[in-house]
Amino acid sequence: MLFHTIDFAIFFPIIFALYWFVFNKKIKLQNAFLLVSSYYFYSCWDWRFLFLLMFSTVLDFYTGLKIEESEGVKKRKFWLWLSISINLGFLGLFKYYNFFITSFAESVSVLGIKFDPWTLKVILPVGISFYTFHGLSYVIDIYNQRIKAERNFVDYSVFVSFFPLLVAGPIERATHLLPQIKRERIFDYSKAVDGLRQILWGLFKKVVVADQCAIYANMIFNNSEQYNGPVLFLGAIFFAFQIYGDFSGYSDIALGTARLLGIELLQNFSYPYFSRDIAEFWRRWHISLSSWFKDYLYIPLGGSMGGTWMRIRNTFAIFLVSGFWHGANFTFIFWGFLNALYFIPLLLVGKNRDNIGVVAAGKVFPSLKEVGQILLTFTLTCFAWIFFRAENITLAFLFIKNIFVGIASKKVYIDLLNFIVFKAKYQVFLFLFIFILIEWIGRERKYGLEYLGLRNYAFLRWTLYLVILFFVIALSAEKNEFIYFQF
Amino acid sequence: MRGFLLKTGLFSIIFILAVVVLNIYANKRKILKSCHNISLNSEILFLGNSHPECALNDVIIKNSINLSNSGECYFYTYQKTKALLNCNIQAKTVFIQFSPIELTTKWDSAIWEKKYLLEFLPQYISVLSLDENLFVFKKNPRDFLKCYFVTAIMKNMGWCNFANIKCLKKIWGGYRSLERDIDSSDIKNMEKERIIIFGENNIVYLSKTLEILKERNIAVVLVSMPIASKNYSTSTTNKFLEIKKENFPSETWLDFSSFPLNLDDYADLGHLNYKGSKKFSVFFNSLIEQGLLESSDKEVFVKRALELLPVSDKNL
Repeated sequence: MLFHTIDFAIFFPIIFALYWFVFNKKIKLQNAFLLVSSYYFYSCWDWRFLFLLMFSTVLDFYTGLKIEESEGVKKRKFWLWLSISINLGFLGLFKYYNFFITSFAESVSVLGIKFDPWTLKVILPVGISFYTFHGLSYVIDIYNQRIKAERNFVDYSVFVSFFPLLVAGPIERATHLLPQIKRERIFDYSKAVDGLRQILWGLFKKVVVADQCAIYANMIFNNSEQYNGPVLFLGAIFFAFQIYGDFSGYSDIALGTARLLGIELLQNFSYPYFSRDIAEFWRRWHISLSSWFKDYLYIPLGGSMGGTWMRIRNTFAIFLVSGFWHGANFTFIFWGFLNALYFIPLLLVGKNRDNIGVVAAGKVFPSLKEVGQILLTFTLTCFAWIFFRAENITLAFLFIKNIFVGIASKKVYIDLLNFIVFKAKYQVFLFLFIFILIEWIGRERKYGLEYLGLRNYAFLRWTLYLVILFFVIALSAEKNEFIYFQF
Repeated sequence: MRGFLLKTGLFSIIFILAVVVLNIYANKRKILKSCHNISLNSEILFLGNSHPECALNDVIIKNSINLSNSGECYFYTYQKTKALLNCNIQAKTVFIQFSPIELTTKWDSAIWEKKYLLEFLPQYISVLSLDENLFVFKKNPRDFLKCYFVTAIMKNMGWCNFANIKCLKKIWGGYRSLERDIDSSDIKNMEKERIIIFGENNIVYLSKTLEILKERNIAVVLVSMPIASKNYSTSTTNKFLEIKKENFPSETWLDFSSFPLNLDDYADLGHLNYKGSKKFSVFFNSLIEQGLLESSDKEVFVKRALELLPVSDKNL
């Protein structure tokens, strides 16, 4: 069940009504209802994987209790590593087994040893990377005595399976979400309205921005041999907006949906394309994953406490693992590697925390310097996205090489103009312009549409919402999945 | 909570009303604009599905216009007729395809099945009555909503590519020339006995179509197009004749299903190719010229004309 489909438009109001009007008498009842709804939501994809989700939930719940009960370090470590091994074992099996075995077969074939590897012929269980990380953070936090083990199985299961975040995050922490699940929830009008608005904005990002950009990104990436020069780079720009609109759109819908149910989720995106350097970009892009890796990988490895080489090693580690988390393909690993390369110079000169606040805070326009910084960061990001999108590394390099072919000749710019005028529809540029404008105006808020200065103009505000909703519905003719579901 | 529900409800109502108004406005505008694309002064009008669409060449049949459309069931023929009457069509006689095939349950589900619904409903959305809307909605709420909120607006506003959906084919239909010949697998199936399960929905809309045409003093003739294989089971034939007798006792029915043609005049078991349609249309035109429309007993008129024709090789 996708967020931008009629199925969800029917599913959610029913859940909302039952949640607030029928099961609101007792928190236990409300949580049990949330769990059943979440399992139903998940089973709409493939009910067989529901057992995997349940197994993972039981495993982490039980090991969490065992870690807390065990007195010796050895025993605690045993339960921790049992949970980590089984969780990562499943993730590895479903997500990485085929990649490793085929890569291994290809490597040994160089030595003349040929064998036909046995591969797993099952689809990747949707959301496995997300709920595995939920569970891992929970047991690691118990092991590190940051939290106490949860004793109510239903509450813990809701933490893992809460449907707005189940399939594509944000990756929540027990410290943040569990207390909210345990606490009695009271309906808050302003939060509910805010939730609806965030859902609307998320739908706009997904259906109007991402799906429209996807048409041209796919056109260019799938036929890259037909294009060269700036048209190829335009393809990378389209993809940059596609993936941002897609994933941050999903996150907005998830956050809005959760808020309607009285639960606040972690912010996952904070206007990453207005970043002035790569370090800032990574503080604003997929925040819940970046902070997960920071807390559970970077810091345990020593973080930035050691010497230069240690910091470089840890930075590479976090970016490479982050790349690999996205998928079993060298393109993702290289994408991570490239981002590490972008990041390390800033780290070495100590400028990785220069741009902490919002760009041009309190101003209408950014300074020229800021414009330059934003454009440079965005360009670097686009080049990295080429690896993320390409079928393989060779094609990605070829794509980049072709961007520069004939860059000095007039012809490539005429080709670009021809593409923009005759192939791409002007609407996509109009949508992008409106999108960037709203994001810029709202950049000091949680999401673009949160406040546009229309608080006192109800008629204009409602008209704007109606127009956005109209475009969302009108353009949702094709059911395009969210990119991050595959991770 | 009350305030939230009230405001959300109000917003939803405004939105739904806006969509309904936009749908009706855009479709009405489109129908009115496309009225001029058809010859409204033709005296003879053909309606139906792909069988008449491929069989009746309105260039050959004088003073006629073929507005049949592939996949069109009687429900949508009825809507199209309403739209045509809004265009003030001047036809004096309307021929409507009528054979056991159009009355099957399969054709009933062509009213609400996604493929047909998204193709036909947007074309006539402004002429559908509330009951008809509800009827389709009940049968397939999911695709009805998709049609109402997405496809219809996009198609009627001419924004099809913009929304990644296929544009409408010709709004009114028209003669379609098929160049292919019948293939061997079709020939193998010719002898197979066909048992048909009759549905109950389309027949209602055929009756309604006849009713509104008669209200405008337009003569209606039911007609069956030539088909390569007519091996209906006895029970099917009997049931069909019973339906005809029960629902349209006084309607003229001209049965050309056994019209003598060769196998290479067919594109498949049910459709004529260009060659076949040329032969049939020439014959049909000659019937008109000989006074079919003025004849007091059209069925006998046609029977006699058919008896004079040579036997085809299709039954060999």
